[in-house]
Amino acid sequence: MLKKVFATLTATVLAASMLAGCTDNESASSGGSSESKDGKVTITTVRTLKDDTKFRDGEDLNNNPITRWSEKELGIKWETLWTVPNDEQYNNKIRLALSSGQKLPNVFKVSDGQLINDLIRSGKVMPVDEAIEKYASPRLKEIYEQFPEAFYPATVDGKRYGIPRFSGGNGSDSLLWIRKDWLDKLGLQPPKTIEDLEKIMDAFVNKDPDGNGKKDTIGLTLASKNGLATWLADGSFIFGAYGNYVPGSWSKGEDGSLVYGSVQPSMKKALEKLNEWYKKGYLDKEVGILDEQTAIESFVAGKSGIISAPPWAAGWPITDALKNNPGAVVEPYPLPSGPDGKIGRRGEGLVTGMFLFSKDFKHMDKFFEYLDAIYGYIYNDSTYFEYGLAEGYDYVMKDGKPVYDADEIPGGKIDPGKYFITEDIPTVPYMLYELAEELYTTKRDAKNAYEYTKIVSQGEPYMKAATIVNQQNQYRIENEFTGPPTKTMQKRSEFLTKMERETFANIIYGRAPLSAFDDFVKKWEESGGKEITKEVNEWYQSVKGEK
Amino acid sequence: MQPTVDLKRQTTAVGTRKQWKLKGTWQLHTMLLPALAIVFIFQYIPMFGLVMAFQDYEPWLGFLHSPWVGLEHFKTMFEYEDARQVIWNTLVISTLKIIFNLAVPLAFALLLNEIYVMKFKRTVQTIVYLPHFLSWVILGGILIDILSPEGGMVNRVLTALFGIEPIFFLGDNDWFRTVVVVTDIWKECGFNTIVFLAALTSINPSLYEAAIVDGANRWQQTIYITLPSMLPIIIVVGTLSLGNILNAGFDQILNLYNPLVYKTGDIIDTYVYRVGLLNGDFSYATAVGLFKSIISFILVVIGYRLAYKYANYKIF
Repeated sequence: MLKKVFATLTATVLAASMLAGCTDNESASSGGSSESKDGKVTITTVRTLKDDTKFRDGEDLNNNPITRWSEKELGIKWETLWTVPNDEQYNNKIRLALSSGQKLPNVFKVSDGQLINDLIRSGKVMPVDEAIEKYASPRLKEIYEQFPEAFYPATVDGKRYGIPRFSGGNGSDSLLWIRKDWLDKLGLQPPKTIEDLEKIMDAFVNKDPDGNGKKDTIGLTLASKNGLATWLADGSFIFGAYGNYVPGSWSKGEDGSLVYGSVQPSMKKALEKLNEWYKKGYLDKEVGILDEQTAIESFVAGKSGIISAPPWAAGWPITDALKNNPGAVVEPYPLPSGPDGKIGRRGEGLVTGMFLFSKDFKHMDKFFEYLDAIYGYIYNDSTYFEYGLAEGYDYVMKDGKPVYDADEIPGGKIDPGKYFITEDIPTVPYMLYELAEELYTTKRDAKNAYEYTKIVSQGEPYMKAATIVNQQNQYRIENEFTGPPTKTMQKRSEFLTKMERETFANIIYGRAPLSAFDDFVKKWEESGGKEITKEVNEWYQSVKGEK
Repeated sequence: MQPTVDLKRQTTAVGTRKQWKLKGTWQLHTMLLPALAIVFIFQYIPMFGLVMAFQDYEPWLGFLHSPWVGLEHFKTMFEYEDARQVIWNTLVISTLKIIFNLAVPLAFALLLNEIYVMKFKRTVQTIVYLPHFLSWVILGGILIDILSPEGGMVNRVLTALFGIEPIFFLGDNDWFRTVVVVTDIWKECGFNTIVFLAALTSINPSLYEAAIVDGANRWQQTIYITLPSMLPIIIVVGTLSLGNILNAGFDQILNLYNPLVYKTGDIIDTYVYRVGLLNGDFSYATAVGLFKSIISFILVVIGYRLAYKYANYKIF
């Protein structure tokens, strides 16, 4: 009897492993790319599908105006094998595919530095130097030459393994958004220097700008839980006003090598200021526990007068602030300068991920053809997308003229740019705000759906803010370390980051004296910081030297 | 006639006990198989992954080819002061949680038991149990608002009643552990309360009747009858929670902590999360996790032995 039991058990286990085997085979068989008889090429991919991607009835990622266009005009059939709703799950799935030896899709985007490195080291993705040389169109080559550092995340031993998926370049760089109605009410001028800013904050705190008779307003909204240099309620401009470094970023030091911003002596001055501001009540009492999403609450509630945020904040959270506080006017202003006339801000990275290609992918020519074709849209010379991406989606024709207004489009406006493999209309760093500046200063009409949707329809404050950010481009302090975490980083950066956050928070709250910063720097160097700096620079030399 | 047959059957049953059991119930045992298979596939097979803790694991090399480093990661764990501190924090927070998660529900169950209005009793019981179903992601946001030093509900009440300065509960190293323990008790005490209430109903009523005859009042009944009768279940609950001594509540801490309270609030799980997931040091994170499991295992065994020795109570 016992034998029988074991037999059944074995059978069950076998069945289970066979089932597992099945799924493996399935994904493997759909992994390879193929050329069908009619000369069309199928390219497989995978991606995240966030809820800002909308579809018309019955359409999906494998069947929409963009895939139909691609198949008809370029002969490329896109097959999206799977989608997940967020980056974390996406990375897990790719990592799983890597460690379980499954086949990788032909083309896929990865944004995690460690994962990119693991994939390259596994030998399952191919180098792209030759393909760029052979197949990239002249204008793509030109972009790539203009931003060689965009390839660094996927450069190993001098070989490039990925094609960058560019960000807006300065898209999430910050400027000041100030309550203009408060300034006017108190008879103040917009700030040019940190000193001006202090006067304004003082007035915002002590002169009851919201007129409710209570001292319940603060000067500046900051998020510090995830570091003081961040994408919303950003504090990097305070550090930039006192030196050439912002916390958390590896930027060029005086001798041209990369140094870590948070341990530079100029931090001290800014921390001293922040502590002073905290004591005077300019900052949120809870600043130490606020992340980006919770920090903005004070500004939205009309309790704060200044927030440092990117131009896109004109949509969210500033419209919320306007809605909550009737009569509020929020205007964008350039970042103020420090005592020596210095200005600096955290610069957004150039790329939001790299496209990697599985070793057996044979149609790089087709990939570049597609990429160039979709870039044609933003260069405004596309033969396919004259007024927009797809009629009835992002524009409609009325009396022979394109109309972009969402109300005029039956069934509402849908952005087919989200169906591209780039997951949005592709960009070239700095180009969007450059265009916004042009549209804002010349007041010309939008030429296509791209200009209308991405810029004009965002409203005047957005365009003004984009113009300001673009004009302050020379003050960007970018994180130039874009490689995978180094050996010592993996071991020690958890401790170092924790110590950094703790020290900064304690200094701002006055729980530790300013000299705690010096102790922190010393301990940072001793606890692995020195090795990390060495490793980062070795990486920097290795990616920079060869190309 | 009848008694003889019975007797005969019994003797056979005793004689070939094992065989007889399987013969009559093998169908039932077969039903266990899917469950066993699932446990084997999802609980035991993944244990091979623990080998990572002794390797310098590189995902593209896998378990089989990653370089072997022995106990290095475990040494690292005790070398760095940050690791020692999170272990200490974990022990303090979880010990407090275990003690109060026994004491509070017990007291509460005893009090509820004294209520004779059934409707009221049931309503209270349900209300206390409800927070158990809320996730910490949601509660975290709510707590940050309630405990805010700027117009948070708790601070307003404290200022209005006692006139004290607002306390920055979530940003103060002296208060953070208290907040963590109190909110956890508030959220979870309903569950144990129900367990204890169930135990209370199983106490033989004749014991109370006898006590009343002897002239015991309600307090004496509680001390001499209720508590001793409940001792086994208290020990069971206590023993089971010993296994959690190194689980100080990942979800909760992750949603409440911040750089200001790293000193008292950072626990092993949040540490492993930052090291393993955010920094990609899988081997080290696995080593810390394995260390945690081993300690928990040892504690469960000790707890079980103690329970057997002092209360003569066997769980398994």
